[in-house]
Amino acid sequence: MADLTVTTSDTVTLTGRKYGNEHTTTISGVNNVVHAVTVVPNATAFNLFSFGSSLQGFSSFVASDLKYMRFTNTDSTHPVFLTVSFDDGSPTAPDGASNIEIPAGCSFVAFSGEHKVSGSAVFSLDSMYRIQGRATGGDVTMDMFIATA
Amino acid sequence: MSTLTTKITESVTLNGKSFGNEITKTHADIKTAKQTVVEVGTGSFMELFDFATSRTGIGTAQDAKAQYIRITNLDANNFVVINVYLDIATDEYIAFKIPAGGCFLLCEDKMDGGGSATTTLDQIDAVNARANSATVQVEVFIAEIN
Repeated sequence: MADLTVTTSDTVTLTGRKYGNEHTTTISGVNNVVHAVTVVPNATAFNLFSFGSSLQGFSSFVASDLKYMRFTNTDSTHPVFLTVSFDDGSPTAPDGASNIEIPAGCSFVAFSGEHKVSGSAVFSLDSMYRIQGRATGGDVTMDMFIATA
Repeated sequence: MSTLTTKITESVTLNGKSFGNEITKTHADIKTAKQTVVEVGTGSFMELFDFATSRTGIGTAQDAKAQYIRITNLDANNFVVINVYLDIATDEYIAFKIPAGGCFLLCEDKMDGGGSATTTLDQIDAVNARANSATVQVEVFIAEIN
């Protein structure tokens, strides 16, 4: 088992004063890492990672084992959209999904494999089921990093 | 107007090999920056910030102007759940868990919770948070181009 160190920082100077901060967190118990670069095609849903009850190959993980994941759109122009679906345990999955835009050069990160969409405020979440990417305007290259127990 | 520089670095060594990357992004034309630390309790969700068509106060961001949003859980033990609220025909609450020390990042103030894949997103109306078993401190940083 290994420790994963994640640092986020942001800084901007306005009217002579610096705003922003730097945070570092150390996540212990990391046993599996996937660092991948892939082309996400334009206007087509593309499977990136899936989650299940057991580790199943290079791109399928146990949601409760997720420690950290990062998706970076390395393109300089086109956005990419992530569809993050979840499984509430009923026979047919997925049971809902959200969509997030990652503009050119930007990243999306998550430190947990729990997610849900509800019609009312929700505190008890479900396990992620699958993450898909879809570019618009042209293919984009995505840099992805995922660490699990 | 200023340039915001954001960076994400991750590093782990497994089998003697180092994995990870450093990602840097700059956002031009930043005019507004808001940075705050707030306590989030356990009993119910509290609003961290909201969005509106025009700027009405320090806690309200203008629609489509946010270039970078970071929510960091500063606690060492307890997690926090955030609900991204979309006020559309049917209310949608999009929930993510932020463990101790973790964060949630967005470079766009739009999301969708409709259940199927789409590239047409809705404006976020508010972001709410609730801690699990003890009050936690959360740091919020928002940079806007207005």
